[in-house]
Amino acid sequence: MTSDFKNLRADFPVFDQGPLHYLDHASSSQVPDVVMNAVSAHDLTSRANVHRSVYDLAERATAAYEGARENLAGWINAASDREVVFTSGCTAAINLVAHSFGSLMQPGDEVIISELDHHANIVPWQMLRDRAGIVLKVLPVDERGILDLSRLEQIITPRCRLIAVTHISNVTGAVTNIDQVVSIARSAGAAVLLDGAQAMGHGPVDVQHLGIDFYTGSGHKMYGPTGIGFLWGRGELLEQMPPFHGGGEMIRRVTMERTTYAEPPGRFEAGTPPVTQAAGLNAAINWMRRQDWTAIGQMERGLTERLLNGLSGIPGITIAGPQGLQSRAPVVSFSHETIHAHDICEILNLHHVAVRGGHHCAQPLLDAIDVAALTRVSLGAYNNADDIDAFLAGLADAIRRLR
Amino acid sequence: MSDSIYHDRVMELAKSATGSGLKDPSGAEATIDNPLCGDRITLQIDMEGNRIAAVRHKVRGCALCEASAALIAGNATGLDRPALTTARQNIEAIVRHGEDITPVWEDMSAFSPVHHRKSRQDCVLLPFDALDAALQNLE
Repeated sequence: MTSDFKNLRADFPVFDQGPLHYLDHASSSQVPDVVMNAVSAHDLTSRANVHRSVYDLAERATAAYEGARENLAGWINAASDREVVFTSGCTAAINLVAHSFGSLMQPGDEVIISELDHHANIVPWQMLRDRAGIVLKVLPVDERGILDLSRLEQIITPRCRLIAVTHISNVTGAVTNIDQVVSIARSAGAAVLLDGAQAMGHGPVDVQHLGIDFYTGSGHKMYGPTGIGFLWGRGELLEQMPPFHGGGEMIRRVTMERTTYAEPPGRFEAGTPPVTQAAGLNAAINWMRRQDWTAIGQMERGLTERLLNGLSGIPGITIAGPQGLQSRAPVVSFSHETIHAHDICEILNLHHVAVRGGHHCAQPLLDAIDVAALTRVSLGAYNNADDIDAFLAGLADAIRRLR
Repeated sequence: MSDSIYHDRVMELAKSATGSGLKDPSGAEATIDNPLCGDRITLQIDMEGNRIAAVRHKVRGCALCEASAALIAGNATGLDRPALTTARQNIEAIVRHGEDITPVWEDMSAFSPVHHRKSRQDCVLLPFDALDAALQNLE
């Protein structure tokens, strides 16, 4: 199995600089050389502002930017590239929906979020609640950190305008049962937003098949550059939504008295967009298109199983969320009964193992399962069995030193 | 070596749990979070006049935070605010700025390798922040 992926790992220059067991894919994926080459090539040959000038350089920049949008729309099976809005990342995309779609809500309207979510899918809704007087309801997790979807039917009412939940937990790796969420949302006439930050780095996502209304992603978690992400929204919803930021690019006509706005997606892309990053994201999507995601998924599951088996033999370890492989992405977080996650991560670093410790921007989840911090191991397409074995050996060393 | 942040003396301090455990009532109390990692310390102080009579704490954090809390609990008793300010300045000089000083509390020197791990400096300083906040809460 490992040998099948040697060539794939060779696509990532970061591994050329010496021993590195990178197990922090959920924070930021590493980038293939073709992505960085595309970033460099764009700025060296086609750097100009977009949508404004007619000279050849600007035409090439606009073509690169709009080509990336078209490519991304195809990758997520959007009905139209007009449904894809480039943002600075997933957080910005969720904030856009909270401000713009949120401005269409009335006081007393309801939004449902979950305890499982990243702060990026909690705080914008709390800010909307405080700004607009909506009612924010929270779908809880159980004591193991697993989302209790059975509660959704109990808390939803006809006043619910939106359910905003994660597609895949950045902490536990749990994959949300989207069919169930969508079914319940539809019964109340509510829209569904999925935070797709953790899903986009594990292969294709089909937004139409999911049956949802908004989807968000971050370039740097899908083998692309930082500084770019996206919002996908159903065209009819984007049409209804007012702008978020004001400025250049997002207008149709400006006078000193009033402004009319561009159609989506331009309406939501005020100012100079991340053109260079879009060129990189385009290359990342092309790289992803060339991979066998069925094989990569099998490889990631095999490694996750190896990891879970290794952890199960270590006294004092508690895994947060799902214990097995069913409905989980290759993300595993755990606590040790006496050793803090940061101390474990520090010793693992000596073994060239890169994992993340802390609250993972999910403090409500950690409060719910009553832990201060978790050590998280997260896998990408470039990982192999050596990475898991190095992690387990490093963890054993950390426990020996710090116990 | 980067693992020297777990200097033997640091680990001894952490395991000593000096001052661990809260007691009510206290002269003043403060709870401080580290927003980076979610670590939390609650620190209580009792006063006799203008001097510290006792320090107690509850740490939900890493070994560095535990060691730093134990350092304070073991050294602050009998000190007034100017002396505590000097101690705070000493630990910042060592951890933040990497200065080679002779600190007022000898064990502070054990934290000097943390200067090279910027992401962990707040772990050491969190109990000092809690001490400052508790002193403010006296007012």
